[in-house]
Amino acid sequence: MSFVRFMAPKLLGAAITLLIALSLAFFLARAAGDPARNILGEFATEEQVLAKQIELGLDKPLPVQFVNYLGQLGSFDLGKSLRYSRPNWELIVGRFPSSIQLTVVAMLIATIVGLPLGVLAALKEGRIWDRVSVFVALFGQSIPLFWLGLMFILLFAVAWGWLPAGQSGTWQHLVLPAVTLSVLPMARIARLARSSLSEVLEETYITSARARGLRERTVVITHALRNAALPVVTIMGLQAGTLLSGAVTVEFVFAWPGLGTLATQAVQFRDFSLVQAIVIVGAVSFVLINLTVDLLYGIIDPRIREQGS
Amino acid sequence: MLGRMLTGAVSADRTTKGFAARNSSLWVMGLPLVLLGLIVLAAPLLPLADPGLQDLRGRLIPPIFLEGGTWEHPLGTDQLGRDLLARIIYGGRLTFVIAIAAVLVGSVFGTLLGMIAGYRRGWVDTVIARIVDAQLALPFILLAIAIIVSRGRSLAVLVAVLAIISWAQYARVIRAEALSLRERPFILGLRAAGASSMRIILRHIFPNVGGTVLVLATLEVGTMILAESALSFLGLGVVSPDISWGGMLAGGREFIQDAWWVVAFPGIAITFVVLSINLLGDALRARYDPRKRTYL
Amino acid sequence: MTATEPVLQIEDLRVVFSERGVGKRPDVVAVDGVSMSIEAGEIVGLVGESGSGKTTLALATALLGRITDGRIWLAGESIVGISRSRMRRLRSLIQVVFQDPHGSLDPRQTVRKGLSELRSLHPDRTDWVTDVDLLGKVGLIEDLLDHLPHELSGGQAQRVSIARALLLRPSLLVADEPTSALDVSVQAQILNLLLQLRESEQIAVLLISHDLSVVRNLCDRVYVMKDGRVVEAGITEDLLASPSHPYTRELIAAIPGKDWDRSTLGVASGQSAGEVTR
Repeated sequence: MSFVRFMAPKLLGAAITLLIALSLAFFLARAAGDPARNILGEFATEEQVLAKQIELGLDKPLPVQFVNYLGQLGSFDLGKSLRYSRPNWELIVGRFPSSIQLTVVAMLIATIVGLPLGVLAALKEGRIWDRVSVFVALFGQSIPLFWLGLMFILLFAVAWGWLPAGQSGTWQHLVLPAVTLSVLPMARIARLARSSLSEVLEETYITSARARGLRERTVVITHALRNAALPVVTIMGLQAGTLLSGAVTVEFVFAWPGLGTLATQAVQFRDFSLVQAIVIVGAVSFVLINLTVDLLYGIIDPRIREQGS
Repeated sequence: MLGRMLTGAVSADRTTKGFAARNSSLWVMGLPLVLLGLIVLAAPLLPLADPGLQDLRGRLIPPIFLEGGTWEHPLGTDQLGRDLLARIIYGGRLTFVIAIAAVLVGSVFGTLLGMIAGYRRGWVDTVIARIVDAQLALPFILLAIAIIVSRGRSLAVLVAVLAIISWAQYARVIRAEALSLRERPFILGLRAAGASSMRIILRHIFPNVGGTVLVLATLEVGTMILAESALSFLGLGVVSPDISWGGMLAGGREFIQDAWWVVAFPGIAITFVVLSINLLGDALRARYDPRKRTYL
Repeated sequence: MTATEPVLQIEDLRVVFSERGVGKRPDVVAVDGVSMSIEAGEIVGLVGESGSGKTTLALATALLGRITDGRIWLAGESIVGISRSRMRRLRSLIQVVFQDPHGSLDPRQTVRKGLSELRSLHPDRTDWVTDVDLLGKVGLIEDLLDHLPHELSGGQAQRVSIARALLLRPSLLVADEPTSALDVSVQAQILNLLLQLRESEQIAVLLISHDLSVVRNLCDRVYVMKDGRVVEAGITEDLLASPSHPYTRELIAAIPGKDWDRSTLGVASGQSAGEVTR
């Protein structure tokens, strides 16, 4: 009962957020632009543009287009690719395995490295380890990932020949893109783990656990880490949500056959319909991942369920 | 749903003890940026090669410290024989202009909407907060791609896209600050004295969130530089003959096997600038947010 | 102002906080059918422990908070259905002094700038006194005019808050725990100031407190609040001498040993209120 009461508003909220996001995507992309003109290029005649508009349903007034757009979404129809003449959904689903594989591995690397880095920094606050890890985290947030990918290719593929520079297939192909992609979430996780753990360590219940004579390791493991975990889990969810679609440039650099590369190909061919479909899938997956994390909280930590929204 | 998660994320981010804050003063953090800004501004006065001048016989000349490098091109030349040093300095101009323009537009809209939402509450707040959540749920680079594909490519569109990406950030943070400010006694007192909402928002809420806006805007210049470089790298932002760091990376990518310097230097420039901005932002945060200084 | 109409009259006031939507928490009735009237120049106490709805009621009386139901008259005029501008004007008849002295002043505004802003809001109502004389009335010297709030002590900040309230010539001053954030020595000075202002400016005061000993020494009448309702009301002395509600008896029993009365507050001789604090 109480779980349903906890879940219902979250589901509703997620649905509303998604609806607004998809409407925003529609209006931002269409309100003042002329996709037909852009698809055909500047040398197209007026007749050609008009024909294209009719073909895409762009000749109708904007509100009518919007209703059609919502209607399509409602029936889970993502439209047809202009370039490939196949349903967008098919094209996107075909890229899912690669994208998910890359995201999962990158998140694993980010967590395995970022979490200990942050915890270490919090425990050794103010000392050299702390400074190093904070600086590394800041560095990770400042570096353009696609450029880092290029540098990795330069070193590991071109100069030393240890790993392949692009494409996919074996685990060796996965290493460079996954490591590159893991840098930003790693930095975020490390920063957040550090701040949330050092905050918890100053709480009174930690002091009293220490006063009871518990060993420092016991205090940290049984009390502090558990309480510091929540915000870290949140940021992991958020990062995973953005990774799936945020990998565009990194996928492009490594010619990784995921959603991001599909998007850049769609751009090259001005495949407006496919781009829009990918945006929709990206927004849906972001909202779904975060909803899942939110619901997981409710299961893991009953206190949050009590507090309600 | 996202609201709570996002607020959680930001509050944690703010409580991160600033590396910069503890180690150096604002000036030390700002100095590299000021110097760089001056160099970039004074570019036409410096003895630099014409950044657009092609020399097909002098293609991919290595930088001075490698064999074959010449003082004529200290950082070497690119695939069309153009001087890399000049291109990086001139490219910095456009990169900065775009990032700062986007930050200005985004921060004005975001701050205003955030203050209105937080102060007025009610349905206005509900609507704005929902749009912020929705905006943050849209994958930024895909959204940018969608807009640019349907609108065509231009500097104005690029700035607009970047501003659209960033406004929600300000709105979210400033809304939270305005929400807590509106319950403060001095705001209640002003309402009791008959001050209008407009006056309270502009004269009292704004000065009190100004420091936060400044910190956010500083950090956001870095984010915008990264976003611009990503879009230009994909061929969606700045394109030839205009020069930006991201655009340089896009052009040099194919030649990475033979001439690493063509992609290495623009990337180093981006990383250096964004890192400096992030360090400065950390220092500013400690300075302008005295209430939270103990946590920083 | 003629003394025939009460400065403030409220009838059957209710304030309910409720959430909307699925999975909401139950409504909270913070103020549950309270009626109260305050005459010109009167000091009225409102006591109750925290959570009893005092502050919610205070904000509602100053027309700053939510009002779910009930009727309110200001100087005999009902505030139901009046225009926004009229409302803003009427509202300035009631000014509020809050508990947190520093929170009551915009941290980015000097005392002088704050006062001149108030003057620009009500040019006609504020020309009766200069900044310097106004500060004099609350026992401050003019040097403080160019100070920022964080450069003031708690007591000084509270005096500035009172001066700001006074500037608009309100007919009622709502003081919500005005002394509980201050040092004990400063508390007496501020309470004294309120008493003195009642004499000199003919201002009615609604003094909200959890401390019955403060109320006993200052207030003509008292309302006792518990769980959003007024459980007992009456002339201070009568009420304290023969409390009828068990809750009032509890509060009286909890009065600590510090036994102030008006003479120790020094109102009779009038010395400490005007004392200059620096």
